[in-house]
Amino acid sequence: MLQRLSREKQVLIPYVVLIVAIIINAWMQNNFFQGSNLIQLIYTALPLMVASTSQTLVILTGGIDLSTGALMGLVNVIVATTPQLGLVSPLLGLLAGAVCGLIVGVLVGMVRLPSVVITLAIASVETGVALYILPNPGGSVTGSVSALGTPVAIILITILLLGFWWVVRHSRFGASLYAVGANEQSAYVSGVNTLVIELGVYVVAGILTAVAGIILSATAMSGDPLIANSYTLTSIAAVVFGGTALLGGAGGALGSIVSALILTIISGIIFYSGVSSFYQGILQGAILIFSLGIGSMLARKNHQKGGAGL
Amino acid sequence: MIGAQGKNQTAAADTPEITMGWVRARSLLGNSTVLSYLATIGFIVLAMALFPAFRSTRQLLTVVSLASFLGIAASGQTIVVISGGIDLSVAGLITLGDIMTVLLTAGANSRLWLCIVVLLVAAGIGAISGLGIAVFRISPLIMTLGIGTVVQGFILVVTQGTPVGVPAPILVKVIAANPLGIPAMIWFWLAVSIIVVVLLNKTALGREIYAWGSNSLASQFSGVNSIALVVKTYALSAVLSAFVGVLLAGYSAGGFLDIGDPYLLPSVAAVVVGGTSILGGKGGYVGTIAGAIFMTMLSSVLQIMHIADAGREIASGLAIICLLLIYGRQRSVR
Repeated sequence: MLQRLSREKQVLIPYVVLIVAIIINAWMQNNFFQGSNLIQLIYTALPLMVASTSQTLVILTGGIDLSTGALMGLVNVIVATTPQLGLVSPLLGLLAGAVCGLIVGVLVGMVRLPSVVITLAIASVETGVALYILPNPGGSVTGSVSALGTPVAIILITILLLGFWWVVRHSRFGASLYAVGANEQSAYVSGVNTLVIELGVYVVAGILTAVAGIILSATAMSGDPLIANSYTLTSIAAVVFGGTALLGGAGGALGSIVSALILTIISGIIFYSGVSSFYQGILQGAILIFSLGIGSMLARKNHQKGGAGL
Repeated sequence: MIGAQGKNQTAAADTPEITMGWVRARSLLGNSTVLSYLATIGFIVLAMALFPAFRSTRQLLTVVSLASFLGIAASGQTIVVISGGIDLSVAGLITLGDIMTVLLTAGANSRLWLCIVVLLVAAGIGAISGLGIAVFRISPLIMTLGIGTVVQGFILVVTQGTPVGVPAPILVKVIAANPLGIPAMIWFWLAVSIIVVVLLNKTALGREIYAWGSNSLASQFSGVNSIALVVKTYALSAVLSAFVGVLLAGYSAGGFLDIGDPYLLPSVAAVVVGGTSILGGKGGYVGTIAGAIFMTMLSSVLQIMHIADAGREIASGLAIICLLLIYGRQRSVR
């Protein structure tokens, strides 16, 4: 274990940064360690945590999902326009996520189109459908959705998310996922049904993204087709920051979840420091590039790997 | 099935020249650049058949001149995608080009030469992206995304979130000009197209970009200076994006904070619709020209049909998927 840690120092980066971010935030905000504040922090980070777990699954197979934000927006709109349906309302959202995931899965796994372009195109369609359902922001969410904002639900979802990742990591499906991401051809030759894995990944990722959209709806309490646009890029940032290789086959969702928390804490720090929000973009971009630069420098000492792939 | 194949083979032995022609036609249809032109021309013919508004040369010239902005923005994207990367800082650099042109020229013709400074700054920013990718091995997607965010952050800080003044009047006049009855934008696009096509096909740099895109390790072993190549690639893309910004400053006669945003995803779409492989190494700018016209034509048609934003988003997404179904498929593992 220790040997592994000293060999792969870069996997520790997110945890070190998390501790530093917590110390800075606690120094600026006196009530940081109060239970209610910590719960609120996790609640704010939760949609990104779930979305980046979804993104991790896709990236592990060597793909990328540029439709995360658009699907979350679509689910948000579905949930916000159907409060009269009660519990069926979030279920409709989950169904939308599964269907969108299946379409992407068929196009990427079966028809063999590149995921970058397909998810970009699907995102356009999803945003269009969301704008068609709800042209202007509005609507309201049902009680069963807003109940997601209670402390018990927040803790429960966090535990479920970590449990979900544990199960995936230790399942046959999880192992095949890594195999497909590392080398699809070899995975197929060694008997992995790559088509089933790719279909499965995109459907599960779609459902997870829908969950993220539903939690976001609980925070927002209303619908807006463009509400989640920033989540596409922040979820990818969280995955990469968390140590998952963009080429697939290496990494895990735990790092992504921690990184999602870090990104949320950093926005909090910027808010509390009273710096003009105009500087937020510069800081976020700079932190991302800087930490990734250090990460890959450490990684490069171990593996001398050529190529600057996508 | 088997019988039919057997018959073809006998026919091939009897009349080789017909078979050669058939093979050539088939390989032409397998060529994604040719397919992208067929799709674009087919789409234009369809639009002309359905909507009388498109049956005038003037309307078609307007579409092409609007496509020029996307076409030039997608030229840098094409170079980067061929090299196996992707440039997501296109929007930020277009906006930077627009804002800097307006701030530097500040409504005075005598300061028009400062546009060169704009392009030099862009080259520097692109070089930083290239260094991050080549030296620090940061993935192009994330590096250009981060740089784009930083650039847009700087723009917000400098402008304090409000649009800025007017550019040199002569720039506005040049963009609005109509030499030989063809809008100036199209001339600019033509010039950029010739430069980019020659660069990609006739120069050592172009060949290195293709080689790097199809197998970076192999080209490194054959003596390509990887850092210099990647830095040049991204600097070039940044300069072309900023050039779109300079032209947009003249076209819109002002500096706007989100002027580049509508070009980011369409620039990728135009490249892919034009038949360049997103995996790198294959394709070219000639296809992207068709891709840019296709994407612009699509939004013009939807505009004429009075379809709201919602329908336009759905249609452009479906159109990209349909075109990819025709020629974007990757090799199967089976």
